[in-house]
Amino acid sequence: MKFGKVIGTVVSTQKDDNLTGVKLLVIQPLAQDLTPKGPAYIAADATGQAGTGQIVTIVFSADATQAFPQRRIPVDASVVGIVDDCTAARLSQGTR
Amino acid sequence: MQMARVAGTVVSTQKDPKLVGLKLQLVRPLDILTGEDAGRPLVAVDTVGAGIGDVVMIVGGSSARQTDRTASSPVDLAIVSIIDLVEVEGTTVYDRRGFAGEGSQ
Amino acid sequence: MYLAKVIGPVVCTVKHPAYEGRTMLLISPIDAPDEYEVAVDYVGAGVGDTVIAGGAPGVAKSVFNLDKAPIKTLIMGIVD
Repeated sequence: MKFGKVIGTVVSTQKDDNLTGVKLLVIQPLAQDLTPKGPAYIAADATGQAGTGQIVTIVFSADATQAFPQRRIPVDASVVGIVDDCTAARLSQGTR
Repeated sequence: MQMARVAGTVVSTQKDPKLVGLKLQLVRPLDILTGEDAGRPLVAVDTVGAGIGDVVMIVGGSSARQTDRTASSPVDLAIVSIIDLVEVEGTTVYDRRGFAGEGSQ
Repeated sequence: MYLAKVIGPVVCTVKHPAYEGRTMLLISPIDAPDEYEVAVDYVGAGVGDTVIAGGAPGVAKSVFNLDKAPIKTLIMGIVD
């Protein structure tokens, strides 16, 4: 898993059937010290609860498809956790 | 997943039989925040009926085969949605209806 | 599999069910300290330990006996 920050949302009506009801988030990838690193991308929210400003954990490619109960879902990045605390990364979420 | 703009159609007659019936599009990856080109053009299988100029979401790798149309085909990039709206930190960076920022041209 | 150093714990209250009750640790490859991965530990590693980390699609499913496991990296051993 990698760290990312939720910075936005993507809205789409015309899409693969199995993406219906799946929230799409714009993610700023983060380095291990939680500083921005690399270009933003889109991830599907497998927690259903992630929102703008939160630090999340993300899995990719074949692991990303495993995050959803549907048999088939065409996603290559999925949010699987909302980070509360990572002292190693000097994070204190909730204060930001 | 990445944001991309459909730049053209790719036609091929002599191809893997499992690609027959699949629409191939040329897509240009875009930087989500600026809407500018980001990276080389790529060929993607269109599973949602996108048209030239549409801003779409593309999915890569083995995940591209996780659609009903591409499940058993030799593909590694698929268009899986047409993007209506992208909002970043409270600002609309792309709006399909045309009130866009830098995301549309 | 590769060797990595455990940097510290990662705590998530909201998480995918496959992560329920599991320990997540921030690790960094020993030969690439600028890179990192958030890994699931099931062998009891601690901060500062050198560990064996890795994983491939399907590995976490079989280790944890789950139908679906969106887990990339596991810590499968602590180096003596």
